[in-house]
Amino acid sequence: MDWASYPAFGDRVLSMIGIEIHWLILQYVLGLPLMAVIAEIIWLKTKNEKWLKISRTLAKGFVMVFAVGAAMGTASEFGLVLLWPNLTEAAGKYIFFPLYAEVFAFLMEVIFVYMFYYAWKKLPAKAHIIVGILAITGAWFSATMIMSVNSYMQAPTGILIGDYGHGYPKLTLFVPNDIVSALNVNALQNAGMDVLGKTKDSVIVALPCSIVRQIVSDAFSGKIIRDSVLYGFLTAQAKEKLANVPVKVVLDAIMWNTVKNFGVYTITFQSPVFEASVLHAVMAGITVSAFTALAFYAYSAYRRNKDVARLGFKYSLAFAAIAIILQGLVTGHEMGVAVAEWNREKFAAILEGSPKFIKSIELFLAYGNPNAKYVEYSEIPDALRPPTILHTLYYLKIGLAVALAVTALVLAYMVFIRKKEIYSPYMLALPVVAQVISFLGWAVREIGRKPWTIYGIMDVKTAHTMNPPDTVTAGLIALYFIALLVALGYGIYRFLWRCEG
Amino acid sequence: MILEFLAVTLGLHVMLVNLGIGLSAVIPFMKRRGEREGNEYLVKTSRNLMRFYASAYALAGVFGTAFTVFLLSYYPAFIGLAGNLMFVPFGLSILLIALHFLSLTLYWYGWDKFKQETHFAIGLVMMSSAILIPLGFRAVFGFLNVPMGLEFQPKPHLNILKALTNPTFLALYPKSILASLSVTFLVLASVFAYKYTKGDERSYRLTERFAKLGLLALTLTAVLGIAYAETLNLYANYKFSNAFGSLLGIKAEYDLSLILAIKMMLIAIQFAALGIFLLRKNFRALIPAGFLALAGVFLGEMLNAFSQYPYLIAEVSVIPENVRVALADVINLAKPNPLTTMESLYLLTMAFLIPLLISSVLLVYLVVKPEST
Repeated sequence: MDWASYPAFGDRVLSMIGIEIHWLILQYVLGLPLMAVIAEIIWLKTKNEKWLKISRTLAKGFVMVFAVGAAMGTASEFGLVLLWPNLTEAAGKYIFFPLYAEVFAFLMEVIFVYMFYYAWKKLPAKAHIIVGILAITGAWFSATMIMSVNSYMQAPTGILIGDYGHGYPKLTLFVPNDIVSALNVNALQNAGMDVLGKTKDSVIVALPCSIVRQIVSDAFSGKIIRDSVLYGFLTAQAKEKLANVPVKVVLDAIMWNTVKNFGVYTITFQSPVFEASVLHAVMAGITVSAFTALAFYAYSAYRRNKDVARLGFKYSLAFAAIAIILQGLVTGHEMGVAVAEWNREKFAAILEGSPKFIKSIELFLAYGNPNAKYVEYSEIPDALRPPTILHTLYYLKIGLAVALAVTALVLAYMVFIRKKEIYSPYMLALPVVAQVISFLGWAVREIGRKPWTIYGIMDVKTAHTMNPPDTVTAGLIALYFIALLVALGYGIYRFLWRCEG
Repeated sequence: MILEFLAVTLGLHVMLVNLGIGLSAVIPFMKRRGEREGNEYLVKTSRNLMRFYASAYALAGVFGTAFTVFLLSYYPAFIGLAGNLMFVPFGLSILLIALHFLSLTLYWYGWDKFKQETHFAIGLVMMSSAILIPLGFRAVFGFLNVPMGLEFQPKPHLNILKALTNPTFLALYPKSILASLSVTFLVLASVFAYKYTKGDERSYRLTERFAKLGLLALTLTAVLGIAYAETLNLYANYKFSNAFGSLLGIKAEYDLSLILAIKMMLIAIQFAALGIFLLRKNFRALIPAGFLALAGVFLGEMLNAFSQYPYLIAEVSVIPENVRVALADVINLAKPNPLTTMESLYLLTMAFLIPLLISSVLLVYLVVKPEST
């Protein structure tokens, strides 16, 4: 299927641009503080002033981008509210806690990121390092909260994977007893619902996502029960009594009860793809930061060949080589395994059209068996198919990532083993490639979730605003954000690369 | 506790934003004047103010985000409703926020690196964007007073032209900007008066200048405040009654007139402090005025946000009956998201918020503290 053919194409692109600019910048807040703090610890141990200079330069880097990154985060937040208000409402209603806790993470980030930069000569060194560690904690805490929500959107807690013919995927719901008494259980079971068990106040069911999707759509479009798919699943008595009740009232009751039973504070962290997702995202930030610092010091050493630039280059190179290896072999692998298990439509779209030996490698990496049985794209019902562009995006990402990793390892070999001094302005391309890989990773993750906005629960059309901007407005806003990014890039070049370098 | 958390975050946000708007206007002009007159003291002072402003505005942004996320968690259906209707006013503010933070970054890190004219031009962008950001947000507040421009055919949407002619918005926006300037001038006058009493002779002229500007801005704010109150009286009487209540002998559903009385008392003290300083050159009298101005802004915002309690929209009579019934729970502050009414959430919020608020004070202290050599 064509990516553009899913609903709200223009607003999806606009969201992608806004969020990508935010992500592009904030990766430096995930990675550079770590590099700066480690450099400062080395300075404290060795008293070599070059390490202090490196630490301060890296700190200036992330403080400069932080304000605009945070502003773009605010823009992304409001963008979600304005373009996808029903998604935002659902998130606020049912899985609010990580967003709520992210406020504290954000506050922690702002306070300690700025304190790290402004308090350099105003705090003892050890206290300053603790401030740096708190800045890192704030940034990673923030990433963890947001990634838990995103993970829930990829694979919600309680999602059950199985045979499409039997109504899978299904969502585990804790239906309150008073609602159960109004339901025609036989009709629901005929439609694919399974009863999984009971608690004191609820019946636990696995409801086909096709039904969940329709109920959610009916609820957020303001329908009453008589006009909803729900009507057909009520007892005769309930049909009479509840016909004029808004569907949202019923949906809220079921979802609130489900969330309470899974855990109000923990539900998003129980998403089966959460751990892999958060590690992969944080490591992406570290990798991009390391390659950017590497390019900065390579360029600086090439132009002026100062000792501090040479030391900064070696430090960044070591960081970059370790980060990309960990990203590829550990966190990236875990992410791939999680996708194959929990997002099999996405996995199928990635494999669609791949040569057999590539498929075998992928299957071996995902399941430990090159001949493992997997769901092919053609087996997926039309209503659940993600776009086939995933295949291209994914392999482009993997190809670039392998090339970047090989480059880092070759550079590390030349510099650390052969003791060569290689500084080239061409290394400025490395952070660009790292950013492109990171962007493609997100593209595969987000585009691969289509046709869903929250997998198994809410589709794109339901999430979308009833008053979207026209194409020209959306295009102008996108250009505006891109222009701001270019201006910020120029500022970084002018005040950091040219001056500090 | 929900309303208290909303009040704290909104109040801190508005206090810091008020200072931010004022400083974004003061700093470029102070620096420019220093450069033209060859006055190093003015240039250095503007730089010190900029250092404070950069960190304070970041904190203002966080508290603003905290307020919206708290609102989303406690009243998600209301945010969903606002998201469907408010693309233009919120969108406008977002675009300006992004521009403001970029210009702030370029202005701060480009200090001494741009040509003076270019740097001043960036400063003007910083000032203009700061002044224009509240335009969209205040338009939303105007809508929450009286939902003018809300139309239902062919689907529910906001008629922007009608929304912008909302009289409560037309009074509220200029009042807010003037209040920002007034608060900033008074805070600066207090700071320089304090420095003067500590022996810094160079602060004399700045104290005098900011006191005079403060008096002018405070007087204009008071006039516009009366105009805003009158628009509420005419168009959102429920809110007006709650705000003025027993102060005017009006029957109020939720009488918040005590807050108004305290705010008016604070304004009177500010006028008195300015008068004593300008007539008798008593610097000590001016020192508390800045703090009182900030407290006044905090109280004013509380009054504006909560005098329509328990409703999020004050004047619902302009909404058709059937829609009003459907929205009854959505716009009701007394009916929060049931998942957010747990004691443990409030304890958790305080456990995070209190140390972080203390840390933010420490941040401001460290930013303004001179470097040790």
